[in-house]
Amino acid sequence: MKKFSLLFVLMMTVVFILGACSDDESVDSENENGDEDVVTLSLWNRYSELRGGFAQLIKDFEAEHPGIRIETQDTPEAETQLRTALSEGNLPDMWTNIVDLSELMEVDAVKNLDEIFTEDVKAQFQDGTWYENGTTADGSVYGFPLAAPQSKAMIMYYNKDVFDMLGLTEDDIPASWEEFKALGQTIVDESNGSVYPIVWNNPGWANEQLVSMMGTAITPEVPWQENYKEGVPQVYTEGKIESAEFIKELLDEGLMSPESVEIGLGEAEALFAVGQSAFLWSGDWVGRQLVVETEFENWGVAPLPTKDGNPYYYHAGSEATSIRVSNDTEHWEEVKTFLEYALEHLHETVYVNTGAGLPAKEDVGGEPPFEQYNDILELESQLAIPVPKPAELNPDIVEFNRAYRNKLEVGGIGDAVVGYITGNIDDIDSEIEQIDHDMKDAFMETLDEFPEVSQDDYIYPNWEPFEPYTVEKYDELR
Amino acid sequence: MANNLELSQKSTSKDTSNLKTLQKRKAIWAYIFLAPQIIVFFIFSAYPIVMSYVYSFYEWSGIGPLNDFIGLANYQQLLTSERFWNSALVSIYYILGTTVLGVGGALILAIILNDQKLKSKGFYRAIYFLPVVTTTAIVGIIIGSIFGINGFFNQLLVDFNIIDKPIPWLTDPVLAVIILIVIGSWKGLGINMVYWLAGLQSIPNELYESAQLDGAGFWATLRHVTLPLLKPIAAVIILLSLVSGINAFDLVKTLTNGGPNFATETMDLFIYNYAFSSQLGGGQVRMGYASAAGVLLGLFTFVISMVFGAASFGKQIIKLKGNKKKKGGVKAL
Amino acid sequence: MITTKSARVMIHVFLLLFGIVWIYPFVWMVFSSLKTNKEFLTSGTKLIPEDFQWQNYSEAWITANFSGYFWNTVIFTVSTVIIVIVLSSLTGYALGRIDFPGKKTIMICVVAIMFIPKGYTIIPLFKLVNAMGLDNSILGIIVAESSGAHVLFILMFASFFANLPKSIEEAAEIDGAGVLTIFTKVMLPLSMPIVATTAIMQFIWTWSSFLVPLVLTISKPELRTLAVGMENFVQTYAVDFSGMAAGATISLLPVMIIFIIMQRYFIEGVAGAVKS
Repeated sequence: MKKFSLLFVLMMTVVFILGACSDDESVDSENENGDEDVVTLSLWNRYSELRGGFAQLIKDFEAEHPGIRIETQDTPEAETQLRTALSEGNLPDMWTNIVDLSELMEVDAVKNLDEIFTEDVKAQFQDGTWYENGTTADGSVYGFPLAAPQSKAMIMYYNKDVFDMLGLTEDDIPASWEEFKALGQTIVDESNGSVYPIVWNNPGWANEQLVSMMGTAITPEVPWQENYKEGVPQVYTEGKIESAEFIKELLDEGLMSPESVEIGLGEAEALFAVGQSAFLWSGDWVGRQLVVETEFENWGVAPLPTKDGNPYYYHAGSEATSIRVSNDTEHWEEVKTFLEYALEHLHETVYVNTGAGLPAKEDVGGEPPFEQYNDILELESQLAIPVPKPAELNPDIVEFNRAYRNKLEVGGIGDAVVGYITGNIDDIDSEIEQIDHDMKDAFMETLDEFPEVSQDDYIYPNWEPFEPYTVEKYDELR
Repeated sequence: MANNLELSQKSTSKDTSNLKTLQKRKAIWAYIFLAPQIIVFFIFSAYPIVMSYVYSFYEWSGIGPLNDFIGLANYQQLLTSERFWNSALVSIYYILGTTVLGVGGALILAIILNDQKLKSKGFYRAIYFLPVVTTTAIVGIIIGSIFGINGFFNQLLVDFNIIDKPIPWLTDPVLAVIILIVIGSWKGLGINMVYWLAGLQSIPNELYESAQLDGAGFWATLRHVTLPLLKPIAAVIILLSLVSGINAFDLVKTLTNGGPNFATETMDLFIYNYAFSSQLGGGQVRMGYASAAGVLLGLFTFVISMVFGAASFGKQIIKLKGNKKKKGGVKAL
Repeated sequence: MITTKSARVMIHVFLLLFGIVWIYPFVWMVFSSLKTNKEFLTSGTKLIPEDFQWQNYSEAWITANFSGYFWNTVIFTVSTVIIVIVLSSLTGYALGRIDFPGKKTIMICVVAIMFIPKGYTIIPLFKLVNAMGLDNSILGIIVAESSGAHVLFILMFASFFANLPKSIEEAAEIDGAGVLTIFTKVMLPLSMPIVATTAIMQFIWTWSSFLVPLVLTISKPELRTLAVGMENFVQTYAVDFSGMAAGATISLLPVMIIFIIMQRYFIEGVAGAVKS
């Protein structure tokens, strides 16, 4: 027993001494960096494709403004991280958008940026950049826009190495599901099973996006979760169901890499880049990821295959990619300096020069690092189409929407689709019908609670699918 | 916990007033000794417990003031939520699975390792105990990598021609729950083994010897001597295993994160998802709803320990009370 | 009990084979951490890497900041263990050794605490730590982790102290020692077995603790423990598999080595808990 206590005390002592040493080190390093005159700003970034671009931008900025340092932090679990910081009153000075703007406004956490975004400045951004509960609230600006609203539509990347190996040309790129399956079978046969036609991924959001986009080729009146003809939430559409069935068929018929059901986007990109699959479905930012993260350049882009090869679209401005500023920042002047600098340089450095997607600002310079960038740009401008945003006409919708969503068990159909593909759900039709039903019930129930909101707020008679819903169209209804 | 009555009786010869002040002084010291624990308990245990009940009556995102009192609506919604019941079911599978595998397996191992003549016992004991000292969250990540579609385990099975196509261990809802149970049992088996060994070692050797003299073989001894004598400790081990199975958060979060489609979501992961993530919650962060689920989880734990406790402890508590004075206390180490 | 020689050999073979399977995940982890990322993906079931990539460790230790996570975990664990020992030994001594008014009530409370439905206390606990201004230091997670009543340990200490012979105390009292002196100089040293059991059990729990550090440090990378840092690393660099294995090895191996060196004490300590 004595020996034990001796050992124990010894262990604890060692551990403490080591602990103390490391403490000293950290104190030292802080002192080294902690020049008195330098102001340090914190920026939390959740977009992995922007990491490199931000690093460059900040390097350039710090060279010009030696009094300001900017520390970036990657936040892979952005929402949880921001929420905990928020309830601690410990927000970073800046972060890339996460947590609904209305929620942030309610606790006065986010800074009004009207000082920077005058009407002239706002006009330099693309149509559709400014919208309620995204970049603005009650007409004031609360977000520094990063990516263009007309982006984030999914497209199909194809591996030219695989194409060359199998003697395929651009003319072989499939436009319809049928063609995709036929070509897929050829790819499997000719590569002796070493190359899969497609590698997909399993996050719920990605699956919901894919089936919704493919679905618009069949039922275009439902771009996302609402039907703006009938003014109700709707996720139960032929388009979504058939698209989910198509994905499942690919997996079952051996045309999709079996890993697809358990990997995230990053892994899918990596597998595509090493030639394990001929195609990859993903967003506009993936070009940069392929070239920089996986050092693979020999690829091209095309639209997603759809049923019968019909066109599809995605609702523009699906996500207000932007920088938000903490209302509690102690260094507003420095933040302003940075944002003003960013206004001139960010979109060029972070987006165009890295190829990480399409910038929100119009007419920015820069040199895309790979030639396919312009192809992506062109596809996105066709595929991401503005649709009605009910909150533009009735600001009470923002509050209404939150109350409505609180009543829901699931936020969308993504997890159901994943469950269906992995074999957890047999009957996708009734599963989605149930979600649809719950959504409609919750919606109607919430309408009763909000006299200032009515179903008419969700009906847009002058909207036609595939036709951009512009400012003028809203004015027609006002 | 026997009180010190005897002390006061013995010392009657001493000056009584002196004794009284001494006792008073001691009592004051007792309060001083208790104070830190009591203060810490009230601040960091009692207050959070009470608050978790309070939150459960509100619709609250965790940010901003707590002002939207909704009564029992969160509970109503929970009790009709399919996802919540599914998570309760997954938790029950996990609890029962890890208890049967982890406690049962540990007993077999402990009986083997309790053999006096077996060599290198210490070595085996160390090996089987090793997973206990590892961090569950990190183990989950490693295991996730081993059981991936192209992971080590599938490749091994393919190499040995046991299967021709990789098996989706972590994305098939049934297999994923089984993997969780197997890994949870593997992780906890070592500690149960040590508990069993402690129980086995408290059985006096004479009993085995007399059994041998009676001509009882290995199985007969096991059945008539060993197992009956292990009953009291078995109750403790099973209860500990049940309760630890309720907190499966670390493993589930890092191994499957509840997927696919919440098929492996346990109750504590359900709560975490609603409390901290709108993506995996219902599209909104709902601390009040999560707290209500937490209260139900607490009740669930309470019921399990009560039912089990009543079933197995009922008689023993009475026995223990009688034995206490004779049985000189703790025999640790 | 088992007599035949062949049965004995069988048992050894079984224990060994099963033992290899048992710890294989850790062996796999260590060797995977020395592969290149490509080798990790393509080497199949081959265990030994072609070239040992030691730089995976320096990258994980420095670039991915596992050094910071490691020391945070050490400070976090050691502090928690000490606090828990102090709290539960004091409480146990008062309950087991001293007569005072209200003792019974407190005893009943202690036992009752075990059975109160706890609810989901992490949310209020998190709010509380923030309200106390401890959210920006490692003290926050230490306090949160070591808080609460450690009923098992308290009962262990109480029954141990209650069963010590009276003469020990009386002798010290005659020498004029006060309660505090008796406790620190006489009683606590005697209770070393219980202290050891408490230390070891709490060490294992705290080193592996995940939920409390996760919620309290998710937005503060400089305070993260190994478990949280590891989870974050995997989320950030999903495709850096060998880096992941290196980080996991850094996180798990030190405790495993401490365990192997001191395994007898670990196992006896844990056994001590259930015996009482």
